[in-house]
Amino acid sequence: MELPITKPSQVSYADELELSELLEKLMQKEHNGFIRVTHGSEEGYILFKYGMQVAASYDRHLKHDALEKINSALGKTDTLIEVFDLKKTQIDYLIDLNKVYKFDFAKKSNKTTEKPSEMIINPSEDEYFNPKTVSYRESIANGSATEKADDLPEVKTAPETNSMEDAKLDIKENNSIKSDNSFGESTENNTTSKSIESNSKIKAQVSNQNNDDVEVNLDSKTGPDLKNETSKVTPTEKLAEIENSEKPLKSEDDSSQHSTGEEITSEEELILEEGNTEPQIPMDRADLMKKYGLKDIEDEEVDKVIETYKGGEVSIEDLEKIELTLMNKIKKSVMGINKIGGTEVMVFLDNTNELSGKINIICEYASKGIFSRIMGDSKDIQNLKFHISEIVEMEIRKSFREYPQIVENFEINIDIN
Amino acid sequence: MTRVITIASGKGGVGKTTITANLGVALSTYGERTVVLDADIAMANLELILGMEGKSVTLHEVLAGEASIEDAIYEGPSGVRIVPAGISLEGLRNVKLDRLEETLSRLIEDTDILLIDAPAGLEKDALAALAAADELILVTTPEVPSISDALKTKIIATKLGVNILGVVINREQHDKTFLTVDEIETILEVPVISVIPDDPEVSRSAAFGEPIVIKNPKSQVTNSIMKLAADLVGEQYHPIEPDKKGVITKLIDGLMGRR
Repeated sequence: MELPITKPSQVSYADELELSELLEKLMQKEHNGFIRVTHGSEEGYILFKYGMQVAASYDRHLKHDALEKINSALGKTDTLIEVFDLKKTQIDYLIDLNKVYKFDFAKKSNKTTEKPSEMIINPSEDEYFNPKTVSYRESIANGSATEKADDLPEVKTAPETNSMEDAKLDIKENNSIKSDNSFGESTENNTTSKSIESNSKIKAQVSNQNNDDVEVNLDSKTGPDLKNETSKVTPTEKLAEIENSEKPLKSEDDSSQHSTGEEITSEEELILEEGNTEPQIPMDRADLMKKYGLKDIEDEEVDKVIETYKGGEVSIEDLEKIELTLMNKIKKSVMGINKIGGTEVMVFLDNTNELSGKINIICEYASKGIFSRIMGDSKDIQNLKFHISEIVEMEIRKSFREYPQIVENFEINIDIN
Repeated sequence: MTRVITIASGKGGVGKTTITANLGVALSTYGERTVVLDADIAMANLELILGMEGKSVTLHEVLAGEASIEDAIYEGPSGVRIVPAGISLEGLRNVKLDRLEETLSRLIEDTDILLIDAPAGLEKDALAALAAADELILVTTPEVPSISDALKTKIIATKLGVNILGVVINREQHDKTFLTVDEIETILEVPVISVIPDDPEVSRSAAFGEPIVIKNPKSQVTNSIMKLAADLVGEQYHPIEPDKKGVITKLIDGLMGRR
């Protein structure tokens, strides 16, 4: 098969891994991808869509014949099993690309209606892959309707159930469909119910949204009439639906299909819903947080973190030091002016975006004689204010030598008495 | 109006820079005038991923006041414009982070989308990158430590009033060991807008200094990133499927030099 070989999600040797368990796991998680089985120079592939095997190849063998070969290869200890994951969007494309390897479900469905209790697969030469004659071979294969249960490659065996009730319980527990309808329709006794289960795991794993679930539930809960009604939807149709849809069938789809069977009661619908319930995972956020040991940050912590950003490059401690340093420097410089008898300097820095602030200076005019008072001192005070302002700016520039333009961020108020 | 989108993660090494670089290229292919700014000024490596190392003028020089931002813009693949941060520690010494805001305001002229590759952590430089953004894309791997840091980043970004577009899950491995998409969505309370599979080809592309969206346009990673870019700008993207050629055909093509 032509498949994109990327990094396998799981690698194991055949003796380390029970293929039946692997297949069951893939069914349960509705795996989209493929497994590669390598033994010596021979390689086999099983392609999965929503956990269901849709195509297989092994060396030059294809379809069910390939499955049989894969099964026999898995009996050898040095066989390597690799699981590859694919996107849902890739699957249809790859099925189309490898359609010669695709299982013919329609054909099988018809055949099994005739021989319900048997798993009928014909690993005849029709399934021996010859690329040149594939289309021709396929048409022959469509015509061949006699296949025997003995030919079935037993890739998977399911746990045996003793009754239909047990089967139902098992189905509910696994939340997956374990019956291929073609076999399921014709089940009339316990023996065949076992066959349903085991066959289904080999042939078709339909998601829990699939109708099969309903059918099995109804088999055990309701009478044969209802069973017949619901069995109108054949597995082939369901498979076709899955293949035609990009996404798995939703429960709404199911319910719309079931509505065709008018005899389905609300109780049965309830059973259907129960059966369709997916395995519960802790999706509650609190549970998840607890599960993974995660914690939300408190608002207070968030504010602190943001404050460090808003606070520019200066911490609060540094800010206080800067205020004190500036205050002393300015005071010292202002006191150096002869006409100033005393001064008080207050520096208020704001560190929100970038460093800015307010500087308030209160000065006492020292030598204000009577002549000055008569002549008027307004001009003198103006000059003094200008002088003090220049001194303050100079001190700021000296303090922030690397960033002298910061002086523009300061508001300087001078009051002379 | 220019969209300023920051790509952040909280944790380092989750693939922010790789996604930013490739997303930038992808957006350019949709005709968006895109600028990618490496705001990880301390640990810059956008230029390494894009094979643009050794530029004389970088964001370091701009933030040091030694050059204008116009001189630090370089044209990258598909016409995306790149502002590398510079990898020298000497250049980092003179950086004044306060100038970032002014730099960005000049950068958004003549730009449709400005992608900012944010530094890891929640230090001042990371917060500056978050605060500068209108929108945020969180990048995380499906691992608990990565989710934990992404959660912190998301909370801070929300507080800063940034619109969180969603989370990109990088290096998805379909491994039960890791968190599922649903779990990540639930924990972060943010929609998952893209899931990028783990692919060693990404590292190889980076080693070649070539974005994977250019080097390997058919890879799943490329398809995911192109889809993400398409979603961001409201375009339609149709994934490019791998070649249907058989092995023999590929071999012959390779031998004939037709690849």
